[in-house]
Amino acid sequence: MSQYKVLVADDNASDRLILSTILRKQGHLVVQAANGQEAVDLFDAEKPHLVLLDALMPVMDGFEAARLIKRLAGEDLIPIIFLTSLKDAASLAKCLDAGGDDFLSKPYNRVILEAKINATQRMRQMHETLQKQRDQIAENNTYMLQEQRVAKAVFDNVAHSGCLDSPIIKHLLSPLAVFNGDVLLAAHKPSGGMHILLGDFTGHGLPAAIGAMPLAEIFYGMTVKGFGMTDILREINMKLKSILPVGVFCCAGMVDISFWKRTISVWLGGLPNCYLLRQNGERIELASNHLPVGVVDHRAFDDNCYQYNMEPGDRFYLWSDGIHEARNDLDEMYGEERLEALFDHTEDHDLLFDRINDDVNEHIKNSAPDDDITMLEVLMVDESEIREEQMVVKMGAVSGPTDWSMSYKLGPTTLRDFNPLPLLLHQLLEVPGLRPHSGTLYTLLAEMFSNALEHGVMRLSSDLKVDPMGFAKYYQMRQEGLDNLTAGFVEFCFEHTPTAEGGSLLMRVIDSGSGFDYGDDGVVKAGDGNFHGRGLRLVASLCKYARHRGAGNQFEALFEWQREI
Amino acid sequence: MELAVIDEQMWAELKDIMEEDFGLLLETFLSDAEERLGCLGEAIDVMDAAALRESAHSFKGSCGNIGAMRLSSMASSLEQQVASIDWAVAKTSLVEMQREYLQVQQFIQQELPS
Amino acid sequence: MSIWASASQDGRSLTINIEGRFDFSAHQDFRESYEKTDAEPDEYCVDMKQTSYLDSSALGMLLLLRDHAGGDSAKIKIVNCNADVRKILTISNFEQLFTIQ
Repeated sequence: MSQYKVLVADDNASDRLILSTILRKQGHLVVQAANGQEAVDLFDAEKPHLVLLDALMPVMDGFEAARLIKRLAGEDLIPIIFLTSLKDAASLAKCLDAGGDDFLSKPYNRVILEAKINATQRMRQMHETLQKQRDQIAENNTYMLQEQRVAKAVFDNVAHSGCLDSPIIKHLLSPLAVFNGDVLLAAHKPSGGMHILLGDFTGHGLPAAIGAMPLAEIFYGMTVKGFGMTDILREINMKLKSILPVGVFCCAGMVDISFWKRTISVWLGGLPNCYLLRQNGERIELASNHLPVGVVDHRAFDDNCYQYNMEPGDRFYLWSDGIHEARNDLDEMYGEERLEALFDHTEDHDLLFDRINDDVNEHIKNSAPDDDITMLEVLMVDESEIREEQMVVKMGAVSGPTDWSMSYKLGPTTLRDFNPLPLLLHQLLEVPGLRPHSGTLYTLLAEMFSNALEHGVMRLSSDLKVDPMGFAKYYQMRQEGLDNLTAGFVEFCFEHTPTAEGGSLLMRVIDSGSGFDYGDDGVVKAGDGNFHGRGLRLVASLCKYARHRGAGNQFEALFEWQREI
Repeated sequence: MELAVIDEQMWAELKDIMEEDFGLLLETFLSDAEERLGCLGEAIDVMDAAALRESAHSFKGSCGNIGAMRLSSMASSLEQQVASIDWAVAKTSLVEMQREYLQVQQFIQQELPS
Repeated sequence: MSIWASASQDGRSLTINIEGRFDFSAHQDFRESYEKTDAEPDEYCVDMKQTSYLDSSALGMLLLLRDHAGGDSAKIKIVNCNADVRKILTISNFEQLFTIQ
């Protein structure tokens, strides 16, 4: 049995005595008052768990006392039981209306009194529990908001807006969009041009925001170093796939604009249709043709992009599904049809962006938006208009070695067990000007290497590679040759020189084979006949020149690159 | 049915509840009752209806608690009369109550330990 | 929203039915439908005949099922999609990972 502190207020001394004795015998602590005013004063001083109030008392009656006591109790629930010898329904109801939680009739019945005390105390305890839980929730909520504030500050430093405030860009991104998983990034490329990325992570709150940070780091870090869009996407995909749990991914669209070449490359994975709007009103819809970022591993990642020419005055629009999914209070989505209609009926393209924003907001009107509207418009301009903006970036860009040479010799053990190409490529990419060409460079290295290794060191003949069976046999022999390799080498020599337009990279690959008779000058032309392999012809097509040298065990190619501005 | 001076069952129950404090309760009742009857008399003398009702109500309650049912019911009817009070009748009722009270007092004093 | 699963006679395939909105609230039920089954199916079928709506968290749940069913070697069919559901699957190019009928 629990012990409670009970306040008994009754103007009749013998009534008070009886009630107090009953209560004391039940193990409770009793405090006595003889009238309403005393009751209120004692309530304030003693803070009892329960109040037994006589309805009719001098000085202040029970009803008034009950009102004051309830007010003193404030948020807490201290049960009040009215003591009354009144029997009519109206009077009993009045007790409850005045704030009483129950009533007890005189003459007092011990059993009923005990039952009522326990019932009202259960009520009080439940109320107390609710209060504690509510306070706990409020406290947790405050912590959470504070955590989010810190997270946002960190995020803003990493995923800053870049060049979103460029005059050729219009964009919408709500300040807390990151907690809805939306992120919008833009940066000038050191070689000229711009990268833009719009990401929409699954989920809400901190889990959605967390993926945005490595995404932004990679985007800005690699763009400023001059890496190409597909390399950046590949890197982002790999990172997100490795850190995000299964089922969490990022719908994304990335754009590489060149003002000098007047082209746009677009990669879309999981975002709704984006539009390319030409000055004459022609609208090209680009549909997402890839899985969102972070779903597949690097082997399955497809970096295929749309490529379009753009004239000054043409615009490109990129958005998350917040627009299409915006609902009005009839639960109707804004949808693609409305968007298309807006495009079709707006003559002055300059007004289009704001009109879209207004129209979507008009549609939502009073109903609460459950997703932010994140969208971007970029205008193609003449290269001269953007040059100054880009110059600032260029001067602050990361620099690297411009004139250097190196050689790298690989012996049989290394050839057997190690693929040297990524490492070599990495070295070459230390030159900022080479970074946009990493794909091409890898192809060049790979073709020259396989030529040197297979035909030079292992003396395999291409004659086999005429049909699928032949290919299979060829590669089987290649693998066997590699597994049993005990002698030989492949040497790479690189020499990079800056030029007026940019730079040139001389590549020479030497193998330990005995070479072959390559005829007059050994120059490989892209359109040549069967004498030179397909691979070497590819090298020739990508370089200023490509030729055999020495005894036929050396191959040399010159790759040139130009600055954009 | 005729009401007893003191309801035996209630008396027994009270004794049971109060145990060693029973005597205290009885004395408290007696002194309270004397005071109450005095108040009733005063209220009737000055014809204060509100005071009369208050005292009658209170007296009814405490008599009821101690088991003096007849006295309690008398106080109750006096309380109800207040609405359309006839002061002369009230005075008579009070006299009857005082007589009844003497019986109650006698009973109690017998039961009081010395 | 309710989800229930039924295995084929030979236990080789499990069909999961989703009725109503397939969104975040379906998370636990969906997982349990394929985790808490006695069958060890080789292939799965997600029947969307009564699915009114699908959002990105549902896409995430499908990826979890795929992961459970063997990742790249998983055999999962998604059938009976209405126009809205189809649209979302198309935009996300999920036919690259699932067979959609």
